[in-house]
Parts: sequence; C-alpha cells; structure tokens
Amino acid sequence: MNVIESINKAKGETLFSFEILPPLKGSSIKKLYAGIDPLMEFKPSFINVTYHREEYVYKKQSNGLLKRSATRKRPENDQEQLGFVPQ
Amino acid sequence: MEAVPHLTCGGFSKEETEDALIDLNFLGINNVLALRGDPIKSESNFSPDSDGHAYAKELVGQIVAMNNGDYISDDLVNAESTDFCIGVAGYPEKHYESMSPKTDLKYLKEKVDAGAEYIVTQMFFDNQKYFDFVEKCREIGIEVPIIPGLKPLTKERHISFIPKTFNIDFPEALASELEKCKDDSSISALGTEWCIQQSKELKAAGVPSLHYYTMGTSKLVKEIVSAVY
Repeated sequence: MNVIESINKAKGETLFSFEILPPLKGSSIKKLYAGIDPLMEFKPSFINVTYHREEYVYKKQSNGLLKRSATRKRPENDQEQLGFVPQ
Repeated sequence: MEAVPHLTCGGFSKEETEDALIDLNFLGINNVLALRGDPIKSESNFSPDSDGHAYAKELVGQIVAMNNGDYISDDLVNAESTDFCIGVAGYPEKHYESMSPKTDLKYLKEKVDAGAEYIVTQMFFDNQKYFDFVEKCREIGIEVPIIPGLKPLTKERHISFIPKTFNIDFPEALASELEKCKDDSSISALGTEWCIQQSKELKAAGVPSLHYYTMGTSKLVKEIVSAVY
C-alpha cells in the first residue's frame, strides 16, 4: 500500500511514520536496525529513507595548495537504500 | 513495510534519475519523496547537475511522465508505466531560500499541480504555524493531505542549529524553557515532552500521519509515540 492509499484507508485516523538516515560510511547496518526495532511495534505505515549527496573535502598537498575532492559520508545507491528497511 | 526513498534533483542528471526510478520500480518500491535537495555542504547555493532538474516540480514532472509510460529515452516504444505515489516537501515557516511565504506557497502549489499526491512538512515547534499553513494551502487550492513532520529537540546544538539552518522559530514558551536548560539531558527531557504535547494536539486535529524525524533518537520517539497512540 503506498502512502496515499494508507492515508485513504485510515479514514481520518492519524497514522504513524518516521524517517531514517542511511548509516555513515564505516558504520553498521545493525545499528540502524536497532534504531528501527523499538518503533516497529507501533506499526509505522511508511518509513522515509533520506538521501545524502557528495561533499567536498579539502586536503593540503605537499606544495601547500589545497586539493578538493568529493566524498560521500553516507554512501548508498537506490537499491541499497531500500534493502535495509525491514519487511 | 512501505519504504519512501528520497529522490533529489541535486547530483543527478535526468537520465540517472530515470535509471534510479527504474531500479526502484524493479524493487517493487512505489513511493518517492521528490525534493530539490540541499546544496553541496561547503557551497552556499544550490546548483543543479548540468543535465539535471533545478526544481522539485520538474522532478515530479519526470516521475509523472514515467507513470504514464513516457521515458526520457525517446527511442522506447510501449515502455512500462511505473506507479509511483509522489510526495513533496512543504515549509510551514517558508523554505529558507524563498522570497516570501506567499511565493513559497506558490512553488508548493506548482509541485502539487505537477502531480504530487501529498505533502510532508519541515519540522516545526509551534503547531499554530502548521494549522495556518494548512489553511493557506487550502485557500490557494492545494487539496492534498499535509503530513506534519516532527522532531524532538535533544541537544544543546539543536538550539542554534535548527533556527539558523531551517529558518524555524521556537515559540516563546519553548524558548524560555530552553533558556533554563543546562545540558543535553534537560533539553532532551523538555524536547520530548514538547513533542508529546505537539503530537497530541495534532492527532486530536486529525492530521493524516505524525511523521517523526528520528535522527538516531528512536528511543525518545518511542516514548513520544507510546504517549500519543
């Protein structure tokens, strides 16, 4: 059931939903699950998963100039975004 | 469980957006929240991908087109239609880049007219701002459900960060209580209680959903939800 179908089916009852962030690079998916677990008993109608684009970091080179490079702190692609939402 | 991935304009060409939507469709995902997205962190202004969308309404348009079987790759014949339910963001206290509340509402109307089926709001701490926002939306013909977004304050850092970053005011009653808080734990207790009161009032007003920005505070959100539902 998509969001609008859930709202329509609720017939005026207020649903419960929440938003999560994908894990930081180097962090574990288990932590994210552990964060979701306590909320599952309230039967969320939907869970939003945020998207985080690249950031620029500046590193000093041996010649003293700064070098800019792009990095992603919460790497994900669209497939992975959804893989971790519990069924 | 229904997942609602956020899809942004920033960082995606139209073709990459199309590919992402195809992936989501193959995964059986039929919700997306269409956003312009933030500027790159170290940059003050948003700049779209050279072949990407500049505004969320254009992204909504692309998704709606795919829902009608119309892909940007124009050599496709009889392409499968997708079935995405599209949400967009609304700003009860105006998007920080909008010139005025009225222009901000006009942009929101354009997103809905483009095909968004519901709105999720930015967080707010004064329910009256939400109620006024909904009223103004209805006045200009925005008929779709408007889901309030809520976040419990939990850290000293939030107190300066949230007003500055999101153009959100704390109501005086909350601000004066916050002034008395000495540390994160007192802020978190106050923030949780405030969020419970907000939630109860919004639920009593019959809002479509209470949508929480958990941000690693799911234990507190559990406390709030337990008190409300």
